[in-house]
Amino acid sequence: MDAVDTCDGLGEEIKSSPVLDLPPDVPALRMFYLYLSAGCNLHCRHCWITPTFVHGKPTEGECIDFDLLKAAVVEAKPMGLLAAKLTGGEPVLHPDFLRIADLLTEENLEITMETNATLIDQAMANHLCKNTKLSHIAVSLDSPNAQQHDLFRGKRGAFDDAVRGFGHLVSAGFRPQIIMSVDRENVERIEALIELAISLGAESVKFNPVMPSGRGAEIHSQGKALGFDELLELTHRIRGPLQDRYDIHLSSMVPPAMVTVRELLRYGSDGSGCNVRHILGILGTGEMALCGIGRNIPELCFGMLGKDSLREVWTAHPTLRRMRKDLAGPLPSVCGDCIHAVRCQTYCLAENYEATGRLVNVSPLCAEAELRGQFPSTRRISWGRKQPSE
Amino acid sequence: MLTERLETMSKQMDVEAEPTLRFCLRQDVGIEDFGARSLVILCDSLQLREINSQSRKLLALADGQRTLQDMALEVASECGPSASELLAHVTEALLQMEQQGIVRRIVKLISERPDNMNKTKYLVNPDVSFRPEDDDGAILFNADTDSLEVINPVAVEIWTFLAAPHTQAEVTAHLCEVCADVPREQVDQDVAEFIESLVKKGFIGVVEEPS
Repeated sequence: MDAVDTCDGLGEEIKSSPVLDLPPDVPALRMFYLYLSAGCNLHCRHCWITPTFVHGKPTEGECIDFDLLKAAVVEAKPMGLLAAKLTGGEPVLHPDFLRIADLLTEENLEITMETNATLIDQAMANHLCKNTKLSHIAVSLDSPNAQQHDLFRGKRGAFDDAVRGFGHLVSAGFRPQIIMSVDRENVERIEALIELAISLGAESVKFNPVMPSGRGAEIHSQGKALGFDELLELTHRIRGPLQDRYDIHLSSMVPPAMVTVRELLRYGSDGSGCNVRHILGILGTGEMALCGIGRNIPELCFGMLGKDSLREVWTAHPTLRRMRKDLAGPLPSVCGDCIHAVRCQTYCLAENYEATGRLVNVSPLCAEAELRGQFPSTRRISWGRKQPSE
Repeated sequence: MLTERLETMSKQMDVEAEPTLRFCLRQDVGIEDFGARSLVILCDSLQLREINSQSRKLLALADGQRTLQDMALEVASECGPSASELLAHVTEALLQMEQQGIVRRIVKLISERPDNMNKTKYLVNPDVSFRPEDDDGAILFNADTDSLEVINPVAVEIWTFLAAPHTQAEVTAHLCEVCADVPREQVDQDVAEFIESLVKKGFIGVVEEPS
């Protein structure tokens, strides 16, 4: 794995670097999630961010202001900032996209990016590879079938454009990751997508189930999303027989308590949780937020660049302080009795909030496992201790 | 799962105990004496165990300083059989009480490789919970430090073997019997790396020679 995982937070090196100027009870701010544009040139039916559909140029006020971003980077570096993820909407839509990549490089930040790749031409790919510290790119591709991908992405020609952009990135010297959003309609095509990824020169393939957030909520309400059993079956299939068969790194995201020992041995801590304590999202509107979830849930936005002090937000915002306190434990429900809790940190806090209204809460998947009596007993701290009733 | 747990314990019990092992009463344990019988209260799991006077005597001797050999000598000085005859009974009693959660064996945790690698005897940290899952491997979990290690089936073999104190060479010899098709040099290197790694993390300790 790369030092910085573009979707899961921070590598060990990033987490352990020194912090210069923060109170002792405030964790280092290691990474910005920069939702550069609140708009997107695609209209994906599953998107959890629900960006504005952009035909042409994005609306003013929906792209992070360059000067405000520069000031935010300067303010955050003494607080430990070492990395930034460029995402969106579609980050490349930002009129100053390359300028921002250059700025972050000048500030010596590690850069990762999530993109649909449809707007990336050869010149841009070459510039990113030769002149910036962009080290990891994830490209969304939801089907090996152009028609299905276009339907998923809400725009005819999206598949061809994405594959072309991917090719430019590979020609420039990148080996991007492919991210596939999986529901019941494309799940049967995951093997064909893996084969496509290999033929395109991808470094890895990651499978994300469609989440019940943003537009994805409708897919869930229509019964098209993967259920509990389907998701776990898919996870074990990806991490087991498919990984055995294909010479490309495959991953899927579920809490570590839900994967087998064999999978833990194979994947280590890959995808075992989010380093949310060290991350701050900045939305296209300039709002500082937990992550992209702030786009849909206003109470998870903490202030506005240019109006509010980033340092004040990071050190003192009550939601962040409460989250840190809650993460310090004791953790609720089965998390309080789980041997993975220190690393998992209740997994995806945005998903927890959508499901329960609380950031620090048991993840929906673990909650379902507990409800069904399927939470693995060997992952409980109390395993082996006899209960008084026994 | 409970069956699995008991099988694991049995496997650990099968190993030949070392007379230099030392035991002490677990911290969450209390004892009430009622004449010839005693009740042991396991506070952590809210359980009671009844023990006889011989076991109670051994618990009094299990101070973390005396070895099994020392205890056998002291018991022998008060009754008929010789220490060598008593050693097996003393060992069995202590291992049973360990299984019941009454005593724990003493393991010295170190963070560096010991000076004399050839003579050092290693032993699993008794505070580490060993959690096998199918035949795929196991998870080691130390609740005191919230640390976790996932180990493969070969490492499981080493772990269960180190339920009794053994030198690195003994572990290698044992593994060579189990994995006959792997070159001895490779086994030796893998064993050394595994032990060093788990010693650093506090999952394996060393047995101190009695002074």
